[in-house]
Amino acid sequence: MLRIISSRDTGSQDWMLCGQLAGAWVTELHEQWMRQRRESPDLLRLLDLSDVTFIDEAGARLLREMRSQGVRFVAKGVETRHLVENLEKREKPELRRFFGQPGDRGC
Amino acid sequence: MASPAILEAGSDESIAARYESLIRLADSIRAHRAPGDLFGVLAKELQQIVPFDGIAQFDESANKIQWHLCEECTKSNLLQPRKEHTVAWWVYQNQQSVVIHDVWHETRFPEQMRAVGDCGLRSLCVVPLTTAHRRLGSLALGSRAPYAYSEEEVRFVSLVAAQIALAMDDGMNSDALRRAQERLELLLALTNRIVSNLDLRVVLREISASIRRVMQCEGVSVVLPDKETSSLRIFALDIDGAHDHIREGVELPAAKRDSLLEVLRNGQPAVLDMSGDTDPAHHGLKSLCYLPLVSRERVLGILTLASNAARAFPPEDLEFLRQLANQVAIAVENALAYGQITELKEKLAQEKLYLEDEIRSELNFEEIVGKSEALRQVLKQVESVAPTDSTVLIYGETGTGKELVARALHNLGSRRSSAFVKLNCAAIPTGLLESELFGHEKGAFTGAIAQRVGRFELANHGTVFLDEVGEIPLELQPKLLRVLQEREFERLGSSRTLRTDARLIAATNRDLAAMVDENRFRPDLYYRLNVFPIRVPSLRERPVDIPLLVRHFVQQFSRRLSRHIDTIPSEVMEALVRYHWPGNIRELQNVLERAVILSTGSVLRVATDDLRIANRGRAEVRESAGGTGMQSVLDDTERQQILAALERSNWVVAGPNGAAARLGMKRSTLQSHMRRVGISTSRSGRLTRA
Repeated sequence: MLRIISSRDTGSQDWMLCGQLAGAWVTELHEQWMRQRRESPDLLRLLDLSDVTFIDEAGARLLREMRSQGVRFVAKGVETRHLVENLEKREKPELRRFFGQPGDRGC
Repeated sequence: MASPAILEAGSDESIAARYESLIRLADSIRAHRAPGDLFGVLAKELQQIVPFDGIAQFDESANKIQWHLCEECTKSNLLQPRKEHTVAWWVYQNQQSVVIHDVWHETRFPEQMRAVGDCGLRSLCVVPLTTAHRRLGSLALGSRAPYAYSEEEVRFVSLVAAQIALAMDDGMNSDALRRAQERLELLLALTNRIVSNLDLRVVLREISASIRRVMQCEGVSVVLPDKETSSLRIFALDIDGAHDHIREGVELPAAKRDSLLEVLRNGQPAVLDMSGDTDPAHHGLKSLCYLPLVSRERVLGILTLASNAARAFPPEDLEFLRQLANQVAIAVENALAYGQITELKEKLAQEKLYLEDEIRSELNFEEIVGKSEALRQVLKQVESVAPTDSTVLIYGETGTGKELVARALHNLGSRRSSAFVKLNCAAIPTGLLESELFGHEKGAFTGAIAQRVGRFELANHGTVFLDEVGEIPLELQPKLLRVLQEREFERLGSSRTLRTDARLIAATNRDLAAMVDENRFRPDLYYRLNVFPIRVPSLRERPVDIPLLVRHFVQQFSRRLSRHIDTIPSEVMEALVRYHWPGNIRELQNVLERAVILSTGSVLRVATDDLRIANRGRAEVRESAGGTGMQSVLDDTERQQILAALERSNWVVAGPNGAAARLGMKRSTLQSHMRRVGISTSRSGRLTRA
């Protein structure tokens, strides 16, 4: 499960993710981000990944795209931080798969 | 005044005409069974042959006297208040005709005679209305002339009364039959509604409407006790018109509650006569009937019927109403049972979800991380075979993640919405394995105190994962083969063949082909299992994955154990990559969990010396072996490690402090290794050094 918590500041918005950025939840985050961009480009400034428990390959790709659009990340934990720090590396991507049922392991 | 058409009494013409009239009258009477119509026709026909100015009927069932033709009599509502003082009632009681030639000179029935005289009538002829089967009342003819009724005319009127009584009796029988048929139809309709709908409120609303129609009453409701508030509530209602305080869901006022509670307590119906009730809140209701809804000697609620008519629920209707209430009770009980089943089913489903989540989140990881070619190869195989229903055999050393691969196969396949049922064949005593796999009936063996559903039955439409399949005893293997081939099996102690559509995924760390050669595993079962083998590589075969796994596990354990590790020193990571990991990922997990617990700051601390010693030991073994007899040297090293672990754990194999946990492997795997390197248990179950 993934929960997106948004907090609005003057002229911008921060999002906090809670749970897994994997499988169908990657699509959900992408759609939310696209909707937000259509409504007001450049609004999303910060994505807090401190409470993310797992990021799969598609999640990592989405984060790379978000970073390229100017979104900054806050990450906690050795795995998430390493992943965020190496998003732009051009080597073969890591295998990162989640095989649980949808809805497993929320935050 | 007599009709001008009346012939002179006693003449031949008169007798013939009268009997002709009698025949016509009989025909008319047969054609008009409704009392209102009947007396209209009767008056018209009879007036031609018998003199009268008023005709009256005493109706026993309605308990009243009804006059026709005589307006004064109808207006003054003659004889109604005191029927016992009337000649009509006397005739009915005594079954004898009475002729009163002149009411002003009659000494009997003075009250009535005065009233009749006041209406202008002078003489009366009253005859009983009786058939061979029952007394129906009496028929009275009144004339404005005195001495209007001779004996002959009384005889004739008696014949007419007999015809009328027959027609009335016929009509009443016909009404009774129609009512009985309507009631039977109602019972049948109730039964049909009860069996075809489990929504209690819908059923009861329909039932109430049907009862109201057939019983011709103004309101029907079902009152059920509310367990939470210990009150009585109207659960379903069908009522004529709007009533503010009577509607579904309302709690009954205390005044009504008492009589209903009494019915609930004693389980007997109660009929309330409210004829004298002037309370406007009762909306003119004159009769109430409370019927207990009894099922299996338990009163579930009350069926209430309300009518604006006085005495609407006579004792002879109570038996039928009881039958109605019994049907309603069945509906209530069915619906209550259905509600309980649904509630329990939902609860079980929720508990199942919770427990599954609990099992996954506490004991297992469901993520696969890595970047080695070997892992990519495995995932490619998993993705290829998962959508099919093929049996998969997963090979691999202990702790390599065979179960994770099995779960991935299940979750990527079409059976993901059904159960993934796991059984570790090595963890179950041999004698119970068959029961675990196929289930047993109550009494199948001593100790089988209840029926048990086996794993193959549980996993119908889902997946059965048999871990350590190599441990299945030879004698059980044909049964497993039959399930795989025929999809059929029997529960222990049952001759009934059951079918299952479970997909089988098996795993082993044993060399099944070698076991086949040694006649320890059936070749036919081996070939059936080995349809699509997947080999999970050991961790030392994919050291490039170790840093990813380390970061993954450290982050997971930090979260679970509320630690804030944000640095893994490079020398720690190098030591972890260099270590040969005999217990594979499970061992890595255990080492990292221990390390996270022991790390007090933000830097991960691992006892790397232990890893170096273990590595050096292996290197020395390799050197001393000099490249010859490598297997025996490795076996010896393994034996030494197991013995050391057993010593440290005080020869306890299982449990959190047991040797298996220290070596990062399952108890069953350790026992298998022990057998292989010659460490065995004594007959008493104690471990001995071989």
